[in-house]
Amino acid sequence: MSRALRDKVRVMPHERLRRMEAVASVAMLELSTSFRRHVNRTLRDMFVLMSAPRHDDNVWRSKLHDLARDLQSVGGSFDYGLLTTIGEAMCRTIKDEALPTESSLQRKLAAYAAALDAIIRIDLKGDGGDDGRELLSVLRIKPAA
Amino acid sequence: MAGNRMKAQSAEHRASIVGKPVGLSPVARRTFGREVPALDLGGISLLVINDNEFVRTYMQRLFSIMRVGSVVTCANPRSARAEIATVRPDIVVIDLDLTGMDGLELLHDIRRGGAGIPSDIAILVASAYVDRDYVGKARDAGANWILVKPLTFRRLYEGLVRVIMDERAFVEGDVYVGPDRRVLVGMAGYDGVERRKDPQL
Repeated sequence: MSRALRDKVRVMPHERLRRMEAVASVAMLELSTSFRRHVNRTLRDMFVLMSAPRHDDNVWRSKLHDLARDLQSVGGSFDYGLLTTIGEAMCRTIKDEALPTESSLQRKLAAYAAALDAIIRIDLKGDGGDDGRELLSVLRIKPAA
Repeated sequence: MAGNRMKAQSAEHRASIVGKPVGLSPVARRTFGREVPALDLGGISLLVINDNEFVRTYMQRLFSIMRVGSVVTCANPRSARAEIATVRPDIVVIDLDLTGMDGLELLHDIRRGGAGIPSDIAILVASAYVDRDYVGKARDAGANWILVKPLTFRRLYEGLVRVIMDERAFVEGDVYVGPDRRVLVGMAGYDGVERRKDPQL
């Protein structure tokens, strides 16, 4: 299968790969600044939306879902796995029409949003270790594999 | 002393294969057990499927640092389906955390020859999780390699090199189409124990 693919690449000096890695590490610093800016902007939009909850409004739900999904997506890619786990739980909750009361939905969503904000504020990377496990247990979310 | 001599020899071998096609270079393949081979990816084209614009831009930036020949991005499997036959990528990179079942269906269609490109194209899957159901399903749908996030330069580069160097046989059966799922078989540079050849193990 990959014979044709291998024919398209050439071995290059390791030194060139090391130089690329050095360039990438500088770029990563820049990109992590834009990552934080992006996440903070998303969280701000989320809090604005949640300050005027309209749980019966599908447009409102859809906007909130998009924001949670955005955090779910960028989190794991940038080593903030908890953003992905909690963002995913938030997406599920927003889609869940069967939640018993409006207030229980609002409580849950507010807790998720506060947790997402805290992860960025205290820079809880990866699975967050003991703090991450505790956070998920408070939110009653099963830790991701 | 002996260790130093071996290192020196290995460096000499590496220097002697620079610029040669990887397909003709057993030394480059052997080294992958411990060190990722340095490959010029200028001749490779990628199709990246990820529904997050920020992540797509980020990946494009890293692929450009790697000097990958060309990168086309799609926001979802649906638009990828529309573009794939025109782009004719060498490698498809798909994020399954977001595309979910749609992504799996696309993998399945590619392997069954329903996407307008060769069914044996290399497929690299990215996921934040390693034992979710759909990651197992990605393997069963014929993915060549599953890349565990975060998406760092090193992981992305290694993922690409893994699928390029993947020497496993391509299986076309009624139930499964894709690379041989016994992952270490034919994997470039596997330098572990050959259990099946050693009666003691």
